[in-house]
Amino acid sequence: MHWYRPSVKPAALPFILRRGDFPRLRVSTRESVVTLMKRFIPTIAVIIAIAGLIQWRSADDLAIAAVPASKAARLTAGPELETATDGLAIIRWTITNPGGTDLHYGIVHYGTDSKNLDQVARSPNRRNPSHPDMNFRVRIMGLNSNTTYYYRVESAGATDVSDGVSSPVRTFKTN
Amino acid sequence: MRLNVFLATIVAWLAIALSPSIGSQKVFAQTVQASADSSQPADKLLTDKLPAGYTIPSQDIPCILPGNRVDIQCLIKNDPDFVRIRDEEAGLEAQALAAAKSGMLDAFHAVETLGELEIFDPNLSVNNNLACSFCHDPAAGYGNGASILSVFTGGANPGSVPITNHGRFPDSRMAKRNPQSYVYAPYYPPLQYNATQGDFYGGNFWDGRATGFRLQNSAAEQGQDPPVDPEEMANPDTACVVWKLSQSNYKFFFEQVWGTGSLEIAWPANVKTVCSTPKGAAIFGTNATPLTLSPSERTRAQQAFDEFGQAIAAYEISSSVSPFTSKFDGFLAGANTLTAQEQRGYALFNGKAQCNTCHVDGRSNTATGTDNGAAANVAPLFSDFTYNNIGLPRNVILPWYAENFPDQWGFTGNPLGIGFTDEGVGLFLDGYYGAPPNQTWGQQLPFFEGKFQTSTVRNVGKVPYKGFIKAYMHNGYLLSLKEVVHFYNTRDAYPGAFVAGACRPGTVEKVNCWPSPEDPNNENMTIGKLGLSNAEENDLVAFLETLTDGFVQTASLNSTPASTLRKPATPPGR
Repeated sequence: MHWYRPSVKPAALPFILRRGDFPRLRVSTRESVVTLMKRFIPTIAVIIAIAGLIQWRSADDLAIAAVPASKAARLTAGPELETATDGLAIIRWTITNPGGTDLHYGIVHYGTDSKNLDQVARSPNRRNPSHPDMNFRVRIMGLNSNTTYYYRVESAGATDVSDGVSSPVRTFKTN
Repeated sequence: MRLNVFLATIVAWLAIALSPSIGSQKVFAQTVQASADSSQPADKLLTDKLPAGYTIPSQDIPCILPGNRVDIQCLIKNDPDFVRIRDEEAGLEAQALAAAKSGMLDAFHAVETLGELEIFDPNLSVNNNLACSFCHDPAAGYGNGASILSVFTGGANPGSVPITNHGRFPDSRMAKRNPQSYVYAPYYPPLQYNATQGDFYGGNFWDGRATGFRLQNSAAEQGQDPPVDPEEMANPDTACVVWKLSQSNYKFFFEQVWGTGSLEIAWPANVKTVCSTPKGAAIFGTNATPLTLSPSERTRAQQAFDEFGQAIAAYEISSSVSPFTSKFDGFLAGANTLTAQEQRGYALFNGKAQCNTCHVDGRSNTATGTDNGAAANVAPLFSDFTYNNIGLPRNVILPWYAENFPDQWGFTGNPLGIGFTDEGVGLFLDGYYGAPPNQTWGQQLPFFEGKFQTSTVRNVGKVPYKGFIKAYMHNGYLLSLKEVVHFYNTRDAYPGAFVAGACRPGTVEKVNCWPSPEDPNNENMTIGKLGLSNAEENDLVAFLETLTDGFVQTASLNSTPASTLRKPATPPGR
């Protein structure tokens, strides 16, 4: 049911579909590394200049920068199974407020082999900037009945910046 | 992801075909026995169950058809809400015209009044029978104002064009969705993709397709759409709207606002014939500008059409429509208090229920619901301008699903019939309405399928009278604020059926059984199992009802002669 197809299709990455991927650089085999460096000298110079300006600004001006590592999110509850039927499971967990984008994605890697979690489910969850914690819930569909699954979870912002939280492998069984 | 939609559609088809319940369209809340007149023949009754507190008006009984369908043309003539809306519409149009003729309006109020004249003018539709305000009833918070439509059509309203094919349902072109209220809509910025947040913000319409990119005013571009939507006012050409303005009894006022001669256009000899033929008529083919105008006249017509839209936006943002006078506004200003139940609801809104994650109230808060800071915005809009898929089930009573046949003009609204999946923003990004103006937006399609606009919750509790059934959400599946809150609270606690009407025996739809989402892609999981008690749900409803405008009486700024002439749109006594 598509009436219009965008001329530029998103990269079909099963893990996290990436937004705004830059075109890959094409470097001829005849181009040396030095040649490549020369091409980017103006760009590098601009980056250095901007970095200098940022350093000059006060810390208060940078209040919306990324959450420092010391304040990285951590798991406070779960992950655990919320619901499991023959075809559907919902996994939930809680982390400290990760900051970053308002739109986040909970991500569950799962499979029937604990050493090969080769399937991925992801669900949008919205972050409330004023809440100390953030709950994640992910819906997994298309499961087989009466089957044991293994899973681990993580989360990321809408621009694919990881919240730095990863869980141990857990298990659940469908009816 | 696309496979999910395909499978869901197949499942819906199979369930509808196989389920005796859905086959007879018994899809209403199973909470209260029907209150319809039992003396009526059984095949004349809608169903054996109706929403709590709802009684089919006696005038509408003849309009109920076998199979739980309604005769729209019959309702147009007989339904008491339809009659009320048209009467109020005429009264407000006359009031606005009197203000326009008074010569006392300043420039600010003049453009608002022009917008009001346009919105309440049924002559701007192809058959001179449908004003914008019909689907956006002031007394119902500028949404659907007909209870009967909430119950029978998911709130979807009839368009200007009747369908006369013998024996076919529906007997009118019908909009595909429950009309979205336009209160506070002009406060939504033009649609933008914010790459830092990875999200769309702004725009108007449930699916954001009124981007505002050209006029830099989403509401103005939204106002331009229904007059040329074949399912709504159905003018075949935007210039036809301008021609109709040039024939109106407020032409003088339009030119007073936008400049002398702004409607003086050299119309072709066949203008009346073309402009009385509905959009979508086979005779037009794919021609979107069947009115033949010179390039310069076309430009002038477009300019006037833009001014038409801008005046509509001016009215929508005016204190008549978006006044910030709710009980909650009074509470923020320290002018009144909230009851204990409303306070509890407010705390839940900010805390456990997580409502203000999207319906932001502009105030700092904590998870415990204790406000710990000063107001960030004394006039909160209760929307973050984003889009979400809350997992609403398909509402199979929408007549849109039956508009899969050519009408007498050769127009087919929905060739896919019940196979149509409302993907919301996905439709817009996927080119359903034509290519999006920003070609890079198409890349975001996988992330926005199934999402609909986070509407403001201001005036969600506004109804014309006690007992009115209000349809909520884009497809009108939910029929009360209690149902809305219960859905957010228990959607994932009671997953029970593939489609509406197919809940397992022993379960009750909308009580402890929620059908699967129409589009499972990008389903927002912030909601779905909030753990609220029944009392807490009621507290939330009590708080939402404090957001109805008209509680605070303002005088100081609205006491000028000009504004006094521009009365609030809600008729006296409401």
